[in-house]
Amino acid sequence: MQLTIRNLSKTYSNGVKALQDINLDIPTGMYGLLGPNGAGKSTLMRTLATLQEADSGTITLGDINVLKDKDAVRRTLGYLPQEFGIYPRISAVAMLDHLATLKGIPGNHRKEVVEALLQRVNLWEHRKKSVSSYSGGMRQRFGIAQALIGDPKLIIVDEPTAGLDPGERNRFYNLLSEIGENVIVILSTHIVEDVKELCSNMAIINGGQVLYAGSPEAALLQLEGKIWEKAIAKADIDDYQSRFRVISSKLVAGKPIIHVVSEGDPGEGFRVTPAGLEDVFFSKIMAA
Amino acid sequence: MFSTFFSFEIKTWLRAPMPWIFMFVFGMLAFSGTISDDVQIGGSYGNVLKNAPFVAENWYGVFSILGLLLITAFLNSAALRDFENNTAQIVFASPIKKAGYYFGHFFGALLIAMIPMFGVSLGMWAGVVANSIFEWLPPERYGPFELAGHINAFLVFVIPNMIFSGGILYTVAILTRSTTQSFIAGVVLLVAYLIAGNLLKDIHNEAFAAMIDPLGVRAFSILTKYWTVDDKNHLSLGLTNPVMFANRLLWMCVGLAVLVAGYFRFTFSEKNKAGKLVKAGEVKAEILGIQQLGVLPKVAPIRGAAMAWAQLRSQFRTDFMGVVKSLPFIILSIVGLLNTLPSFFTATQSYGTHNLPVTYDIVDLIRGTFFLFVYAIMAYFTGALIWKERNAKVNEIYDALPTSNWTGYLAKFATIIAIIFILESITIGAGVFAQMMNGYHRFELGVYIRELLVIDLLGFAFLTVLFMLVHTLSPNMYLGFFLSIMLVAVNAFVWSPLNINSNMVKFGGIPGYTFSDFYQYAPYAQGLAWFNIYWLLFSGLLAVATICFWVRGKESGLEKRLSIGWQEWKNYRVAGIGLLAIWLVTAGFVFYNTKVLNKKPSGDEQEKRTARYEKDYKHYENAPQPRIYDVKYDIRIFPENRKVEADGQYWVRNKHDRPIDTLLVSTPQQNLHFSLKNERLSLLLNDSAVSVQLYRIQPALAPGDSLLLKFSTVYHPEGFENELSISQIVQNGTFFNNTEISPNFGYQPGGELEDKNKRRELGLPEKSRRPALNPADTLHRMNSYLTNDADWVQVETTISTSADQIAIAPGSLLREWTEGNRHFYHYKLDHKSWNFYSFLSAHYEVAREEKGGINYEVYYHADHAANVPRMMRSMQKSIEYYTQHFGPYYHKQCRIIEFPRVASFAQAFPGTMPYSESIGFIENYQAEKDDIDMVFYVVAHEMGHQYWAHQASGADMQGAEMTTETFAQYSALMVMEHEYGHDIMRKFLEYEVDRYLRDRGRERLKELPLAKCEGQGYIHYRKGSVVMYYLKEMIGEDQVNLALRNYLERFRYADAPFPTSLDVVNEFAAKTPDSLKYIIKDLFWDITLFDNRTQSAGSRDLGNGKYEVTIQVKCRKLKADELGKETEVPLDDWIEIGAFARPEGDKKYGKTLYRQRVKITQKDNTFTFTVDGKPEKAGIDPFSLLIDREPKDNLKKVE
Repeated sequence: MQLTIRNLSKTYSNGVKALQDINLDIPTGMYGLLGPNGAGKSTLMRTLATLQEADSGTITLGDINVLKDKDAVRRTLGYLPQEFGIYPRISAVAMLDHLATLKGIPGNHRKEVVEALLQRVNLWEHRKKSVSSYSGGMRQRFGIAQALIGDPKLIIVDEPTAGLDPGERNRFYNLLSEIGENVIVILSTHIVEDVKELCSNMAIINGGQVLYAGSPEAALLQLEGKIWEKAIAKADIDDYQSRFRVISSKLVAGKPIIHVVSEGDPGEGFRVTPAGLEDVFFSKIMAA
Repeated sequence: MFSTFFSFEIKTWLRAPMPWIFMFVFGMLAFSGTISDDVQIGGSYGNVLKNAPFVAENWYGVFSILGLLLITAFLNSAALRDFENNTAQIVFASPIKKAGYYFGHFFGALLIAMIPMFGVSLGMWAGVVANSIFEWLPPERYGPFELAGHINAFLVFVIPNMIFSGGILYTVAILTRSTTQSFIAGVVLLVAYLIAGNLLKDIHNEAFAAMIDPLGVRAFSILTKYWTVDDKNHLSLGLTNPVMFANRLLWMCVGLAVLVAGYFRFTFSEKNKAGKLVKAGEVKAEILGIQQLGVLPKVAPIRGAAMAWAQLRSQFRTDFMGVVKSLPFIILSIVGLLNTLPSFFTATQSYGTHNLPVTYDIVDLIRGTFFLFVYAIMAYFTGALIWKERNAKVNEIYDALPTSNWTGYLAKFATIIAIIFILESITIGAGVFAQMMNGYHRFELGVYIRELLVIDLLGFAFLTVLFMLVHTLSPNMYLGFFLSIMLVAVNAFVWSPLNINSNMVKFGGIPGYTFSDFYQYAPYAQGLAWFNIYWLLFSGLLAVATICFWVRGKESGLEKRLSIGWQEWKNYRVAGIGLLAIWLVTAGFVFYNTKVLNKKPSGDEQEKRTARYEKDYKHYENAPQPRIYDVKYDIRIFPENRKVEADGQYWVRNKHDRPIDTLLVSTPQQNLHFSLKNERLSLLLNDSAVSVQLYRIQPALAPGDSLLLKFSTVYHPEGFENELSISQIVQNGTFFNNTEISPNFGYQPGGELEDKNKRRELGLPEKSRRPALNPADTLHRMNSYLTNDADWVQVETTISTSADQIAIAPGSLLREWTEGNRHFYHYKLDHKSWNFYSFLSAHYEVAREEKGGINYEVYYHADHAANVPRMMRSMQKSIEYYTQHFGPYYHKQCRIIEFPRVASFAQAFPGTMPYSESIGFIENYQAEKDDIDMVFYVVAHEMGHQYWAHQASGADMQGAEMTTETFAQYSALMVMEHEYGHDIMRKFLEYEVDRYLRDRGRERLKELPLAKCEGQGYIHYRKGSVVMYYLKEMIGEDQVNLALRNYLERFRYADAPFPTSLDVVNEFAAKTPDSLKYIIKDLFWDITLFDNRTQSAGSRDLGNGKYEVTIQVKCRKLKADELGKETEVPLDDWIEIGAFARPEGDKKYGKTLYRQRVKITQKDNTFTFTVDGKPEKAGIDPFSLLIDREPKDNLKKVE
C-alpha cells in the first residue's frame, strides 16, 4: 500500500495558495510532514482525510482514488485532527462505541474492539468518565483510540503532541511507531525532534510547496560540514544577518548562538558543527 | 473609569451595523403599518388615526417585547466580549475599577439598545410624510404629529423595560459567562409576560395582572381599555398614571436590584476551570499513560443496510440524549409545561360561566399556551443539532467516518420529531388528567392523537425540514437562526398582500378545518390528506437537497459546496428523481382540484366584483319588484356526498301601482346549477361573476297580479378545495338557510362593500350603514331590515335525507315516511312568517315535551345530553313569561336544534332555533360559583326573538336592531331574573357593561345612541341590556312590559310601513312619569355615561350584629359624542347605594345587606346607613345599573 500524491494544488477563495503542485510518494511506515505554521500541512492532511477538496491533481491510496471515492478512503482511514472536542455529558466508552458504530464495526465485535482500544490507551479505568473532563494527555489518547478503530491502513495525525508533557509525548510516539510498522502513518508537526525520532521518511513543506522529500538521513547528509555556529552579542545579530546566511539563532545561557550555512569556513570565529534536522528545516525554509 | 467603558461601548456599537440594521427593520415595520391597513402591529386600531399617540405608544409597547431579543443581544455582547475574545485576562490584569467596568458596559450597551426603538417614531413619521405625497390612504386618516405619545412611550415602555430586562439579562450573562443562559433568561421574561396575560382572562384579576406584567404592555391595555376613539386620537398614557407609575417603578427597581446584586457577585477572576474539572470527573494526574500491551483485534469496517441501521440508531441515541439532557431543553420544557398545565384548570371559565373541558377545547388550549415553546424548542434545537458537531469541534472526526449523509440527517430529524412527540404526549396526558379532575370522562384520545400527533406534528415536521435545510446552507449558526425566523415571518405575511392564497404556495399550508362531534373531520378529510401528502413529498425533496449539501469537511465556498453536493446527488439520484416525479404528479392533482375544478376568485378579485355589482346594478335599488308571499320546497339532501338538490316555487305578487317588466335576480352564491322558470320570463343577462340574472317579464306583471316562479338549485361538490367553502353542507350536521338555496329579487344592498377605505380605493361613494331614523321616510319603511323582497310568507316543505338522519324544516311536521333508504318529511308553517328560515339534517337524539298545546323539542348529538333539560326549562319558562306579558305565541312548536361548531352562535327562526355545538351544549353550569346560566339565557334570548323579530321587526333604518336584539336581551333578562333572583343579575350586567365599554373604543365609524344604532353589536346587545334593565328598575317591569305589549299590538304581523325605534321609545315615554322623563333621553337618544366612585367606606360596630356604614362617593355624569368626546352635564339622577357581606364558599357575591336608591344632585356625597351583619364592601351603584366609565371603583372594602 502506498499513498501517491500528484500535482496537487489548492487555492482558497481569499487567494491563499495553500497547496502548489504537491508531489509525494508515501510508503508504509511513519511519515513526517514538517513545516511552520501556515505552511499548508493541515490543508494537505484534511485533503487526504476527505475533508477538503483539491482544485487539481490526484491522490491514490493503493487502488483507491482518494479525491473521488471518499467513502472507500473513510473506511480505511484513521484520523486524529489537530483540535477536537467531545460532546458534554457522554462517557468515553459510550462515545467510542458510538464512533465505532459510525465507523462500521459490526455489533458483535464492537464491544471487544472498544474495550481493547480503551485498555491499549490506558483509559480503561476512566472509561465511564465524561471525555470533556479528561486532561490534555488523556484526551489525546482518546483521540488516538478513536483513530485506531477499524484497523485503518492510513492514519493521519495532525500535530498530536501539542500540549503534552515530555513523558506523555514519548509514550504517544511509542504507540504510533508500533502501529506504523504495517500501515501508513502521516504525522504533521512543526517540532523537528518528533520527525527525527520517529520517521523513516519526511517532507518539508512551506508556502504550500514541498521543499524537501526523502529520508531525514539523506537530508542531514546534504548539509554535513556546511553548518557553522558562533556565539555573538545580541546587538550584532543584524550585522551578521546582513553578511551571512543565518538560518537560526537561539539563546544558549542567555547568549545568542547563530547557525549559518556555508560551503567553506566563513571565518570570523565560526566553528563547524554537526547538522541537525532543525538546520535542514531552517535551511530549506530560508532557501525557498 | 465609568466613562471609559461607557464611551468604549458606545463607540464600538455606533460603528457596528447591528443597531442600525435593527433600527431600519423596526422603521420599515412602523412605516408599513403607517401607510397600509394590511400590516397590523398589535392588532387593528379601527377608526383611530393611523399616527395617533395611542397607536404610537401601543407600537412601542409591542416593539419593546420584540426588543427583548435585542437587549439580550446587545447586553450579552457587552457582558461577554472580553471573555469571548479571550481578552479578559489582559483587561482584568490592568488596573481598572470593578464598578466602572461593570456599570460602564451596562449603561453604554443599554443606551445603544435604544437606538433601534427610534425606528418606530422615524418609520411612523416617514410614513405620514410619504402618504401625504402618494396618498395611499386618505389624508383624513392622519392627525398632527403628537410628540407626547412618543415621549410617553419612551418613558413608559422603552426605558423601564430596558432597565428591567437589561439588568437581569446583563447580570445573568456576566455571572454565568454563557450566552445560552442569558438567552434562557430572555425566554423566562417572555413567559412572565404570557402568564400575566393568562391571568388577565378572568377580568377580576385585572388589577393584579396590571401590576405583575413586567413589560407594562398588558398594564397599558388594561388601563386604556375603555378609551374612546377620541381619547386614542389625542391622549397618551404617561407616568402620571399611578398604576402605570407603580408598575414601572416596581419592575425598574427589580431590574436594578438584580444588577446591583450581580455587581457584588461579579469578580474579575476567571472561572476556576481546573477546580471545576476535578469536581466534575475526579480525574487525577496520570501515571501510566499508554500501555504497551497486546495487539488490537483486527476488525475491518463493514457496510450494508444492517450497519446503516445500527449507525442511524446510534446517531439518534446520541443526538436525542444530548438534547434531552441539555439545560435549554429542560428549562424550555418545564417553563412551557408550567405555562400550559394550570390553564387546563382555569380555562374552562369564560365570561362568568364554566364550560366542560371538551377535548377540542383542550387541544386548542395546548396550541395556544404550549406551541410557542414547541416552536422555540424546534427552532433552537434544529439549529443546535445541525451545528452540534461543529460547535463541539468533533466534526473533523465525524466527517472522516464512513457514514452516509442520510443517516446523520435522519437521526437529527427524528430527534426533533421525537422530542415534539414526547412533549405533546405529555400535554395530552395532562389534558386527560385535567378532564378527569373536572369530572369529565369523554377523553376522545382519537381527537388528541389526530390533532396534535398527526396534523400538528406533520406541520412541525415540514418546518423542521425547512429549518434543517436553512442551517445546512447557512455559513453560520446565528445567520441560520435569523434566516429561519425570517422565512417563517415572510411565509406568514407575504402571500396575502401579494394576493396569493393557495396552500400550494404557502409553505406547509393546509386547509383550515373544524373538528365536530357530528362529522369528525369528514368534509375536510380529502383536502387535509392531499395537502399534507403534497407537503410531505415536498419536504422529502428538501430533505434530499439537505442531504446532498450536508456539511462534511471544511469546504465553505459556494462553488466547492455545489460540486460536493453534485457528487452526493449521484448517491440519491434515484430517490430524488422518484420523489420529484411523485410530487409533480401530486401537485398536478392538487392544482387540478383547487384551481381548475374549484377555482375561486382571490380576495382582491372578490372585492372588485362586489364593487362592480354596486356600480352596475345600484340603479335598480328602488325599481319595483314583485314580492314573495308563498313558498314551497322540495329539498333532497344527500349527506354522504354533501349534495343538495332543491326545487322551489315562489308565488310573487306585484304590490306596486304600475306593471313590472324586469326581474332582477340574485342567484344563490357559489351554487353549481341554478335555474329559474316561468313561461313569461326571458333571460336578458346572466352576470354569473356577481350572481345576477336579469329577466324580462312578458307580458309585464300587472299591479295586483301574481306569478308562480319555479326554481331549482343543485349543490354538488367535486374533488376538494383550497379551503372548504361550504361548511354548511356536511356528512352529518347540515344546516343552511333558505337564502343559500333560493333567489332574491331586486338589488341587494347587503352585498355592498362596507369598509370605508376599501370603498374609496375601488372608487365607490361613501356609504351610510343605515338610512337615518326618520318615521316620515316611508320608502325605507317599506322593508323590515330582515328582507327586502318578501312580506309575511307561508312555507311548506318536503325534505328528504339519508335513512339514519332527521331532516328539519320550518313549521309543524305533517307527515314522515321512509322510501328505500331515504327518510322523508313534510313540514308546514303554522303561521305566516318572515321569508327567513333554515333547513337541517343530522343524526339526532330528540327530547320532546308537550305543554299547553306546544311541542317543545331539542334535537341534539347523542353525547351532548347534559344541558338538554335546562334548555327545555328555559323554553317553557320563556313561553310562560312572554305569553303572559307580550301576547300569544303563534307556532305549535319550539325547537332547539344542535349544529356543528363551524359557527358558534344560536339563531332564531320561526319556531326553530339552531344552536351551536360549541356553546350551550358544552356548558358546565355551576350554581355554587355564582355562574351565569348561559344556556338558560341564550335560549331565553332566542325565544325572545319569536316575538321581537318574528312577530314584529323594525324598518330598515337606524335603530332597527333595538326592536329585535335589545328586546330579546331584555326578555331573557326577565326570564333569568325570575328564575335566579334579583341580585345575581349584576354579574351579567357587569360583563355587559365591560364589553360595551371595550368595544366602543374599537368603533370604526361612529358610536350612536341606542335608538339610532346601526347594526353595532356592542350597542344593541350590550348597552341594550343595561339600558333596558335600568329602565325596568326605574319605571317598573309591568310598565316596560305594558309598553312593549302596546307596541307589539300595533305592529304584530303587520304589513308595511314597518315600525321604527321611535314608535317603541314613545311607548316607553308614555309609561314614564314626568319626574323620570329625563331618562328616556339619557337612555335612548344620548350616549350617557357616569363616573361614579366610592372614595371611602367605613363602619362602626353598633353591637347586636348591627353596623353603621358611612360611604363617601363622587359622581359625575357625562354625555359623549360620536367619537367619544365627553362633556360633563349637571347631576340630577337616581342612583343606588349598597353594602354587602363577605361571600360564602366559592360564591362570588356576598349577601346584600343594604340596597337603596338615592337622588344625587352634586359631585361629592356622604351617606350613612345601618345594616344587619358585618359589611365587607360598600359603595355606589353596586349592581352596575348605570354605564360607568370605570365600574371597578364603585365598591370599596369597608374599613
